[in-house]
Amino acid sequence: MRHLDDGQIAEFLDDVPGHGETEGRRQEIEVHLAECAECLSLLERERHIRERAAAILAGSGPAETGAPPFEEVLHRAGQSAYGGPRTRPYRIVALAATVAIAAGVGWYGRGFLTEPWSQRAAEPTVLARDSLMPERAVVAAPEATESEDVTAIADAAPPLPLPVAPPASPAARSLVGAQATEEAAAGGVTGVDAAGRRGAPALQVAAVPPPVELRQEALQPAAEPEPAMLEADRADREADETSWRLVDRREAERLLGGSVARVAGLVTLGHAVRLEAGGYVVRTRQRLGDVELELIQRRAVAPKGAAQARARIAVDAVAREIVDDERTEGKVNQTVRRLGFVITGRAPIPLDSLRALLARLRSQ
Amino acid sequence: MATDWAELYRKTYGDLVRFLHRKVWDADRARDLAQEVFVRALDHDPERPRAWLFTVAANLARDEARGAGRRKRHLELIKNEPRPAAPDPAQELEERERMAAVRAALAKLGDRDRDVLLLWDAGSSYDDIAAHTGLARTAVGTTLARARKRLIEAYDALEGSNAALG
Repeated sequence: MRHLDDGQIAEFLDDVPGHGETEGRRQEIEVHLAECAECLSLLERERHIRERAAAILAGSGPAETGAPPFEEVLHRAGQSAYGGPRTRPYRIVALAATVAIAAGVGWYGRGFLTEPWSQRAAEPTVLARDSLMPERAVVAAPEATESEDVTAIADAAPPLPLPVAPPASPAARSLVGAQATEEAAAGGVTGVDAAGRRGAPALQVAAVPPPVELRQEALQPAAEPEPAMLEADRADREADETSWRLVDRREAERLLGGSVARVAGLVTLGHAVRLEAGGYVVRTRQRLGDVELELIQRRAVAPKGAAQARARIAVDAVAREIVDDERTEGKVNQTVRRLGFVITGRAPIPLDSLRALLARLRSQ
Repeated sequence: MATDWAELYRKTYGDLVRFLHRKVWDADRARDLAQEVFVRALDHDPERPRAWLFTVAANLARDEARGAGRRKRHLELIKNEPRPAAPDPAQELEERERMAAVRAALAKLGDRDRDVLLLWDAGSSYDDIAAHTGLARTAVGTTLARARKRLIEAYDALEGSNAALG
């Protein structure tokens, strides 16, 4: 055997078999080292260098490198998914420009409408209002064209963290302030800004949902439910459990007719399916530490036509609302809509933590 | 196979912080960047997660270095503020000097040698080092041996000049 070079000795010391080499090769080197004083001397010298380099580097590291809880990462990830500071500026500008153009088209095109705008604006449609979050309300003016546009974007793009982007033009902005929110709450939006000018009849957003905060006590159980309710729920669940059939992911996706969603970063425990009136439903279980997250995924009804496009926005908005079920053994539920599916998350964690997790939904 | 990110985070965070610290030389910033790397990883769900984490960490550290000049003035202001008393000023001074010497020694290495060395110190495999640096897999050992030697030579030279001055 030829003498060993620096690289081979480095690999030997780092206990790395050479590329394509086997354990037999390592034994071969050991035999050679036992016989060759020159290579053995080189090995000892390299060993010393290796240890010295490691010691030098060890003296320069931060004293404490213990990992903070993984929930902090999920928290940050949830914030970025809600359009936090990492959102690229050009996307905001592009979105603002789109809204401004839509507003302009709506404004100049109002004269072509067969029905006077003043009558239409007097009958706004409040599509969704979160009773638990009074500052958030999604309101759509009765303008089919813009509604369709927004729906098309929602269908084509990955799930946006916000139901719709905030309008950028000053006039549009003035429509989404406190005045608009109060009007929405009262059941009517006039479409007139603070200065008395009429705003374009485009989509109007009363407020942007705040970024979800994942509390530090994220993994603490939610409030303790009544024992009788627990018992009833247990009975329901036992009966319910028999209707699920365990399947692998491919089979789940075949029956569902689309990708099975999961929360990125969590371990997937398994999938199950059952047949309901609307088609197959998939249940995915994931684990975060000791907590189990359950995702129930069913296909959303695909609305057709302009009239139903508005309904889809309503469904999207409602799907982001909180659906608390008190009979869930201390678990909370939240339902979201994603890429044509309605997905309900369920876990024994605070609601805002569940929201943060659902903001991380991905397709498998 | 899906990555258990929580587990990988637990195992890799310390290595990543050490790797980043030797690039940005700020422990808090290194910890923050390490978390940011994982945030991005959750978005991308890469196939070779560990190699990906260190590649992104190196890129973030590079971006950080570019922005360092802009923050210099701010840091100068912070430096003038009163600082909390260290438990042992002599020890703190010694640690600072050692860190400065390591930093200067690493700065004397070529980019590739430095990357290979820091990745090795962070526990990366030779395959990951090769993927990260673009080196042939068979060249990693040789490069690493050379980088270790150069680090020691540079460090000893700095220590020698400090001793001569001091």
